[in-house]
Amino acid sequence: MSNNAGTLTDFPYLMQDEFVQCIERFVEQYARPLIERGVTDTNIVIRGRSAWQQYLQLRRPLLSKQNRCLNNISLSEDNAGIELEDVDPLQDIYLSESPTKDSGGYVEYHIVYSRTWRVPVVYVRAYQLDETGNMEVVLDVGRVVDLLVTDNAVRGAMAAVDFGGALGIQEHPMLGHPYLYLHPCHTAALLRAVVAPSSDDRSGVVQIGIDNYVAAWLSLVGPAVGLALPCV
Amino acid sequence: MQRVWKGMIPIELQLASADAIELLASAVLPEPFQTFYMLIPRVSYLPFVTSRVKERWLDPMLALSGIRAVGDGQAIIKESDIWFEYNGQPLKWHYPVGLLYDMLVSDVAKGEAELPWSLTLHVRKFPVGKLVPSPSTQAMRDMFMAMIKEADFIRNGSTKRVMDLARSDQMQLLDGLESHSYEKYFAIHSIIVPAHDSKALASSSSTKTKSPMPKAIPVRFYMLTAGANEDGRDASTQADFSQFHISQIPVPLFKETSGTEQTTVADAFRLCYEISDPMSSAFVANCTCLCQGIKAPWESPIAWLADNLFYADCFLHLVVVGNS
Repeated sequence: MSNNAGTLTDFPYLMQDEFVQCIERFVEQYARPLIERGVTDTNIVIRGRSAWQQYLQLRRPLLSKQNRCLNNISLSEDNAGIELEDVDPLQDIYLSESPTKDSGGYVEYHIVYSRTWRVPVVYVRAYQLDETGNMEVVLDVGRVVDLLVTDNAVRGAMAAVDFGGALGIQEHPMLGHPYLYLHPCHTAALLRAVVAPSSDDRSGVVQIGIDNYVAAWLSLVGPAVGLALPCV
Repeated sequence: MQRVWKGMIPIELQLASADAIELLASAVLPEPFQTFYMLIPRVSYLPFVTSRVKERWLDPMLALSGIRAVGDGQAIIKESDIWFEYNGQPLKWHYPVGLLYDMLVSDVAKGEAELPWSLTLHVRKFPVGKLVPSPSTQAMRDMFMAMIKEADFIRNGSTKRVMDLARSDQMQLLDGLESHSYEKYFAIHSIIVPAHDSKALASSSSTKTKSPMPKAIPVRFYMLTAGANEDGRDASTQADFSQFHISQIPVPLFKETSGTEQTTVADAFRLCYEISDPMSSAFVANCTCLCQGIKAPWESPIAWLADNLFYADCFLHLVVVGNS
């Protein structure tokens, strides 16, 4: 069966309209599984008629630390004795077994197209309830990493990136307000190194096209912002 | 570029009355501290002048009033709490000062500048959520490097030139920017952006250029949308940031249709806003494009602007306003 409809013209880069197709395909495949795992919101926001003015928005609850398992590292008191293989990373990140321990906060991800880098870029904001019960945005990189990144190896790698680390603060390209974002300069190289484009007929190697570009990309950058995908 | 580098904006600063009352129990500041004047280079950034403002104005003013600059082990005024405001607008500290001026001062396009530029200084109630938090020279340096890496990628297809700079060269570039030293800054800038003769571009013969031509020019448009395309901006209403539509686009040097005609500012605008009709030029008649405070004719080659009117981060920041 021909896969031409899903082939990307310039992998690992995306053309603007390819980006839109990719996020649409992603929502078709992953919206339901993500919602079942506790993600509260998965939709495509359209800010203008141009392809580069659309972005994918995901929102999930922000859990307090005692309800999160640190994957590969240690288990919380409640889960002592569970084998690592039994731990569903998503269940630990997005769902709380004790709702009363919820921080009440949430995390919002905007997956935006960059006309410079021609890859998706993830912008993220974490919101927490402050002492007076008001929802406040957390715009301190250190605190956000602490809240979202559970894997110490990932944290170390992020901190080692030049000029302040992998997570920076910038104005959201469409909303104008400050958001944290993951520096996109390594995205293309990462994708190229790990996967193969659809047009390459090498069986046994992962093929990347419009159908699975966003999923592949998220599997690479997600851990740095506390975003994990369910298997579909 | 040296002339652009030397361009300055005279600033007149006053302390926000609420802050004056809190610090000095009076909205009226003691003489001679009522206003503070300074020149800020167009290509520089607010966090780089904050320490000067504090050391030469705020701290002596507090001292004169018998207030120690440090109380309970904490500085009374922290540099990361300082923010600037114009007409109710908190100023984005990570934008070059010249760009802020061109965006917000409504009469620049008419050639009637508001000078000195009257700003209000705040030391309390940092507008969290509106401004990128915790301005500091280090934060500014990091954001600047992110822009320069992006400019490098757009020009050369990779960030190699910036990333290959020796640590000492990176520091020199940033020190040159921070202290506004042309020699220090430019020595490293010319490694990232090798000089080439833009006249040679006009003859489109690459054998005559001293170095490879850039793949594309980094351009950011800041388009004022309130009435920008029709009657232009009402001169009595000052612009605010939310009225600007900002978008970034790498601009190729030559038009797609011919391989030899240089892209103009008008072409870049059409590319950015996806105006597919190459002859569409309503915006040319109705709008003015400002670059470094100068009206750039729409037919100017982008390459010339890039060589001569770039900002320190190697971007062309172009403000588009309606004609009144």
